[in-house]
Amino acid sequence: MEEDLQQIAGIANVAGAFVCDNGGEVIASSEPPVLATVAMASLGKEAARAFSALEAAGTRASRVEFEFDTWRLVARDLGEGLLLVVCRPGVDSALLRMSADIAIAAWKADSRSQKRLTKRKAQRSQLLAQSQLDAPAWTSWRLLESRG
Amino acid sequence: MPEGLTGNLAQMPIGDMVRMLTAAGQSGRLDLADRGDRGAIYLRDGAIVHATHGPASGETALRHLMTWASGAFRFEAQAASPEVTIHRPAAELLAEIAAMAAERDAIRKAIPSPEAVLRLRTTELSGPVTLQPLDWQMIVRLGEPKSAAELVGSMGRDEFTVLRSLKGLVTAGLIEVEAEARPTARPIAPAALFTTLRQAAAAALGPFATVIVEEEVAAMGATFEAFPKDQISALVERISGEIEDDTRRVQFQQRMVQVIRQLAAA
Repeated sequence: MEEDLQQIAGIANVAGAFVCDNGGEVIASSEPPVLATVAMASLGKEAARAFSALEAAGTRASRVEFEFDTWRLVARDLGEGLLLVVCRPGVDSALLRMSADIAIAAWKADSRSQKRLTKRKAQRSQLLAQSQLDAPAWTSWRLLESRG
Repeated sequence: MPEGLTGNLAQMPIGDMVRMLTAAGQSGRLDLADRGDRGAIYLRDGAIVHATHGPASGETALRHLMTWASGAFRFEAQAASPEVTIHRPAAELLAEIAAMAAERDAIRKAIPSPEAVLRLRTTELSGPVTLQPLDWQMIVRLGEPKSAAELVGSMGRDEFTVLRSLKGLVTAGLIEVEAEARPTARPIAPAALFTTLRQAAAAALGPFATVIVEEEVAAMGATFEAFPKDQISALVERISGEIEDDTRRVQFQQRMVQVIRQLAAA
């Protein structure tokens, strides 16, 4: 897993890549880590939440890209977790997407990688429990869920 | 690949293509693609009912698409339009667009490219000249020479209006056009890459691989001889999208990503 992440991190304009479970816990990361562990966990949790919200809204996605002024975050849904890539806007998006496809296919076929992904069995639905959301977010989520 | 009318705008100008489809009373969607830029024109019984180009739609998108001189097209007969954003008769719209195209040609003669450098003329004028407010704004901005693209960008108005006004100033002898700056050559992909690409595509797609590779290159508005190096990964991704078998697709991507990385490192 780490080797594949290192390959992705080697693409021009990619700052780093990591895999986390649906609870945000970092499972593997390119070296040196692109962000502090707590920041990676937070991003992972939010991206997992975004995938859940999209699914609930009836627009299931396997890839979400967040574009900011000076950087981009690409998130890929692994089912039991997420692949996240932090990059700059000038990145070769096609090369990045294909490199992610290759890595994900390798992890699917590798029992050790699957074991690492499913170790904690963090359920994505837990991220959308009332205890995990503030009041406005919980209200919005209920509304979204009822429409989905 | 779906059946349909396909071709290149370099061989069949967009104006002729749309006129032909409207005259034949066709219904369907005309897809256009040029170096990653995409658009579509929808027809219903020979009427142009909708057009899209990026976030633009309706007549704005149509006017832009009708200026394309290169790229690939594909007509999907009977494809229904998702909405109606164009209501004027096709003949009226096409006549208006043709008049704009003629004016664009005249502009191109006066200002040959966006890189053309513009400066105020210092020679005496042969007679009185009447200036509009937009003309004056441009003259003020040309205290220092600027490229046509820079000037247009600084005006905050639509490109066509600015260029038409600029052409008037060049014709009146107030502005002169200097020899244009030579555009920077874009690195070209090595020919050997396409041998590897064809082989890898053939292993994944079988006998149709050559046709698919050719179609995708044409759809990107490029040729094998002058394919931009920085577009190789986009081409590989497009071709991989045609491979239905997951294992073969990943094998194809693995092989080509390795080649792309070697090329980048070279």
